[in-house]
Amino acid sequence: MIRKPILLTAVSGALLVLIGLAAKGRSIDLDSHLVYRDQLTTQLQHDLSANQNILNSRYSLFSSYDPLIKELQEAEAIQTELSAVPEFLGRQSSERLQLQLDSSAQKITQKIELSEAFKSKNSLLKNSLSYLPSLIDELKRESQSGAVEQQLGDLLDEILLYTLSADEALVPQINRQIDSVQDLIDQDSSSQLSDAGVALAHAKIILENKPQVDQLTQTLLDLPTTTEIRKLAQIYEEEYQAATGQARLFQLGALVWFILLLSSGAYGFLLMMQRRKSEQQASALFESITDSFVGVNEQWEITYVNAQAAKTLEKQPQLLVGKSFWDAFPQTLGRQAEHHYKQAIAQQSVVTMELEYAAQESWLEFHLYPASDGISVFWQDITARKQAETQLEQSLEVTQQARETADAERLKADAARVTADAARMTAEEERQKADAARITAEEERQKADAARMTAEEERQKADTERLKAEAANHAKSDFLANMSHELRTPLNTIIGYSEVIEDEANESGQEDLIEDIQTVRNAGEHLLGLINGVLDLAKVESGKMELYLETITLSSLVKEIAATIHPLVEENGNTLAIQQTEDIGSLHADIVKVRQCLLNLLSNASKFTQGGTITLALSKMENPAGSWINFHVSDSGIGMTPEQLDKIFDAFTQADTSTTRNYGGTGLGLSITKRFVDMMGGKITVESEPGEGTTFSICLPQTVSAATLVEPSQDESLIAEAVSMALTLDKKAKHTHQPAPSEQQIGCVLLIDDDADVRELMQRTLSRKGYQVLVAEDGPTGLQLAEQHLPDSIILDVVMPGMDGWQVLSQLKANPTLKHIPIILQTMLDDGKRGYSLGAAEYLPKPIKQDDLLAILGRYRPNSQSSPSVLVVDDTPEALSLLKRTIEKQGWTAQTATNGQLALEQLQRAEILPSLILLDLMMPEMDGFQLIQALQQDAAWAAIPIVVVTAKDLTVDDCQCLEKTVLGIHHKGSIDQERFLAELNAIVSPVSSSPISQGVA
Amino acid sequence: MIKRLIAFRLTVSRFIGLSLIATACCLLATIFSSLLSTSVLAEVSLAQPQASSLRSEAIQPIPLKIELDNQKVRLGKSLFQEKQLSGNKQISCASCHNLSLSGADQIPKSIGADIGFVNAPTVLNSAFNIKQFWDGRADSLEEQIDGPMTSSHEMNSSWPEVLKTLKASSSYKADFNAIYAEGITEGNIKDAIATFEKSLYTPNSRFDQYLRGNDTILTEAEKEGYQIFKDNGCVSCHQGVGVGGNMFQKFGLFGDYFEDRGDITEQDLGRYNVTKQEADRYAFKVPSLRNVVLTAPYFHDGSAETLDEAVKTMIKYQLGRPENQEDVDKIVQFLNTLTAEVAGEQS
Repeated sequence: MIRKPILLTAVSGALLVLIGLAAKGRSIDLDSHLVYRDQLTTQLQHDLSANQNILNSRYSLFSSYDPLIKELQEAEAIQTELSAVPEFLGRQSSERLQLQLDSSAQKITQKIELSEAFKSKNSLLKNSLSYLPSLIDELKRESQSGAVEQQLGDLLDEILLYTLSADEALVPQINRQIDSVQDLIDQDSSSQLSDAGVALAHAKIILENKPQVDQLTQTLLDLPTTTEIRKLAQIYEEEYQAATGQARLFQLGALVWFILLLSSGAYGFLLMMQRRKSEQQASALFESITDSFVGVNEQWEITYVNAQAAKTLEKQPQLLVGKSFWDAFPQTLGRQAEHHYKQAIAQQSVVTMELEYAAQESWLEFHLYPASDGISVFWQDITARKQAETQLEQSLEVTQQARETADAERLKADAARVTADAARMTAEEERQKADAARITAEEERQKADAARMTAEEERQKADTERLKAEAANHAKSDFLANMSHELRTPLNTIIGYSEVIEDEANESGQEDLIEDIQTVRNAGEHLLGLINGVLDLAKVESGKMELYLETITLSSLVKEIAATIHPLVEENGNTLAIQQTEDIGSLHADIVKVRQCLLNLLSNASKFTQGGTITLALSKMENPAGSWINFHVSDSGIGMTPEQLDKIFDAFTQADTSTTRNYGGTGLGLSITKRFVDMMGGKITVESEPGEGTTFSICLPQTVSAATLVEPSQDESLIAEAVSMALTLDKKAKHTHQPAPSEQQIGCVLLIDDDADVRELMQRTLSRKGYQVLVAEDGPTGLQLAEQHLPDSIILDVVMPGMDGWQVLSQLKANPTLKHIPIILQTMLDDGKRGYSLGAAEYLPKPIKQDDLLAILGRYRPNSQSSPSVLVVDDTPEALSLLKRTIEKQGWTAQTATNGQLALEQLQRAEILPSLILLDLMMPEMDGFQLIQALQQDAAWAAIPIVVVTAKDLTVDDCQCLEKTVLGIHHKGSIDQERFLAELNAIVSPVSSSPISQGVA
Repeated sequence: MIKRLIAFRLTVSRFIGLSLIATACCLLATIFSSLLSTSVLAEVSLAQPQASSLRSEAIQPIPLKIELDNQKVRLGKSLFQEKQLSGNKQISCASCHNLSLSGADQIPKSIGADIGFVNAPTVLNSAFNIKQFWDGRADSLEEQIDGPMTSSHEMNSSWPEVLKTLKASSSYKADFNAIYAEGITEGNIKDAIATFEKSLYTPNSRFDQYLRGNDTILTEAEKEGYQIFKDNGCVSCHQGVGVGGNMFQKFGLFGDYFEDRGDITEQDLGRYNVTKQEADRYAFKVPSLRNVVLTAPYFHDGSAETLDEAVKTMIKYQLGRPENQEDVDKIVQFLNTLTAEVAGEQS
């Protein structure tokens, strides 16, 4: 959004440059050039014509001066026009031209002035020249003999000769003749001679004006006007060529620039189209997801609201888009949780929060994803889960109470046993008395010996079996440890190539790609950390973890650790303080593990502390057992409550489940740390006050010995604990129900599993804990046994041949006498997610593989010949029609419903219930969870197998909703949604063509 | 990711390819256009001067029709007759250049705000004069207007006053705005008046018809008069379309006219007042002889009351010839053939 004004400025700038170049290029106005050239030509013509007219006037008798005047006037007028030099010439060119113009103008003005004088003198000369011959003729005719007349005749001849020859040598002679005639006239004053005087006057005028007119004519013709005009034309031509050359350069520049602009415009347009397409895809995607989504930009304006979000907020998307997020979004969800949003942006990390939305009496789980241009807000309704949690808490309380009661009972029983011991002492005395009788009984003892031998054999047999079981357990741990290579290899590829691509993207300036790639890499690294942690843990537990002991100076160890942790400490604005006594010496231990432990503690401290101090303190301690080194890692962070402290070293546990969401991490760090410290014969302790900070202390022997302590696998004890809990709960619930099958045994457990090894192992473990164990190798047998013995608890394997765990479960639930028995799903130990979800149904992930669907259909196909029917419940029309087609191809009939409510209505109307329900979880009105709950209310409906078909990754909470009887809660991270968002980002970014549509059907 | 990179590289290479093709096109276009423009220029070169028109007589006929903007002519006519332009609101151009009196006033020295210094020349055919005023101090009709407008002896006004007066009139405002984008300005007023004056040409006189080939339009005496006019050298100065008006000539080439007349004024110095050159002392613009029989009295000083007298003065002082009454009469008869009506407004 911020780039828009910049882009606009750039475009208008580029256009301005183009206009400027084009204007420069087009500045040569050919019209004005041609006009100017034409004027120059015309002026030259006028000038030449003027010269011709001058000659005409000079050498013809009487002529009009009009043409001469006209030519000169025209030349002068053109001169004025020429002084307006064409604008395309540069300043210097104009000045040069102007100089020449001034020069030629001056010459033309001079020519006009001279022509005035020429006209006057020439007229005068012509008048006298025309009159003088006729006058003298007349005089001679009147007086043939007169001396004056004779001389005048001679004079006329001389003058005519002079005018024709222009011989100045004649002038003195003519003057002499004039003088002599004048003398004669002066002597004779007769009237006759007055005409002779007139003739003399004319002769004088001719003599005076002839050279003047000749001179004027010569000057006029010699005036270099023609040269000046030609010179002007030449200069103009030169300057024009120069200007044209320059203009052509600009034209070329403009053309190149225009093409560049056009190309970039087209390229930009293509990009835009592609982007628009991507955005359409993205919005289609946003609309198809079942989570609510609101996009917010950097200015906290809402940019996008998907249909689901609009529904939750009960507002039209159009009313929200463009509004301020803080104003338009409900205050309880927005303004009041402002710090969460700000935190997500500030830390550029995903923030998850749960908020109560009072307006709809619901609980919403928010995921805030910081994006490059704002924040993406996702949420979903978790009201159902919240309710389940509340119920669970209540039931746990009940369990706790029950356990306390049981403890009290046990104390009482102990007291009773002491009493019994006393009684036994008395019986011992009586036994001595009976010694005599024992001899008698010797024979009987020998018989008993034989019996004991038999028992011994049985015990050995049992030992063999135990070894076998232990070997199986080891095999599992070995498998985990060996997995390390298999898991890390592809991850290394992922992370390695992410880095390669990131470098390439950096070089090619693809900023938007970098973020995506970093997301991939971060996810990969997170996963690697998780796997490493799990594998470490598995190794420790399987006894595969070994110690590599070496000696290191503590001060250098501390220095190295401080350097490594420094960036992480600074990330949250913390400072690191090191406290160590001088000359603390060295440590002989597995340095790699010590370093890992300390880094774990320090990184935890940095993670949970904002703007505080992290202290790493070292001290030495002497006691009878030897020298010890104490490491203290203290922070001034959020601290922990005593309850949290209790669980802090358990695997997959952090102080709070919400901690993982807020702070990330695997939850394995402390667990591994504790195992490592234990292995090295040390001790880890923790002290903490909520809000005050936390101090972890590790106490290690200065010289660690090679003896290792390996904790036994806890799987068996976990199961035993679960069973015990279930029993207690059960007893409390039914109190005066059926008595236990055997008074010595604390409970009766029914084990249904098709795997013989599992059956044997479980049976042994439970028996040792004092349970009576009933075993069934398939569902029907299990059901039969359950009805016969009414066990306190049932351990149920889900995947079994014939009747599977689900069917067993539903039949158990359908039986009123059995439905209260708590059931433990065996598969949960292997595949948690699958196990939980199978508590209610199988589930197929989308996109659906046809084979999977067919396999499930096959599994649920009833044996009867009548056409089996399926009820498909899905809100997406495409998915609905696809499923329907696939099902009908297999010869089933398919009914459809677009939400839970409609599905229920269909079931109510149906004469024959469907054999199977294919159920989408996220739907409007009534979703999949609610539908399952509703189905459980009716015995007939509850028997219909349900296959969940969903794009949603089932969480533990979801599974709990699907089947309440499943015990155990697992936390599940939001990794799937992160991946989803990463893909989304990829789509929204330009030049993307990743086939995202595969991801979500 | 890789896919995206490949796509990007493809796009980039496509873009480069496109640009190359476009650049090639552009180069071709430039070369072509430069060839084209050079060829256009090559055609333009200085043409050879053409021959001038042939002369038949020294006197040329007035064109029968001269194209003018009628709107300007009409506006100029109103202004020409507008007394409000003068200082005392009583004198217009037409006061001294009365169109019904052949564009002059028939008195020796014109009377405007005061008695003038020279005889008012006719406004008819004044467009054919090379310069205006007796001494030719104005190069054009437009320039000439300044003289009478501001002279204290003539209209005795000033341009700011004239503009103020005209702008107060809504009808003038409308007329000017209809013709000129700038409305009423000094330049536009002059343009309108000058255009009107250019319309005051008198074509198709009998002599012009004769010049155009009509031999019977003149009487024998008139033809004789023209011949005498030529033989006596009158035509050496009175020639061209205006039969005069296209040169300056000294008054008194044979004998001293001004000494003979006496009472020499500054106006008698003539063109000398303009050029301050000794050669121009007593030189005046040779007046046009068109309609000359109607524009008595004659000369710059209005000293010749009749044409007969004027012709005689010319023969004496300008041609230096003996006077012959018969010739003078015939010349006057010829001069009568130069009279014609103003062409009038063009349609």
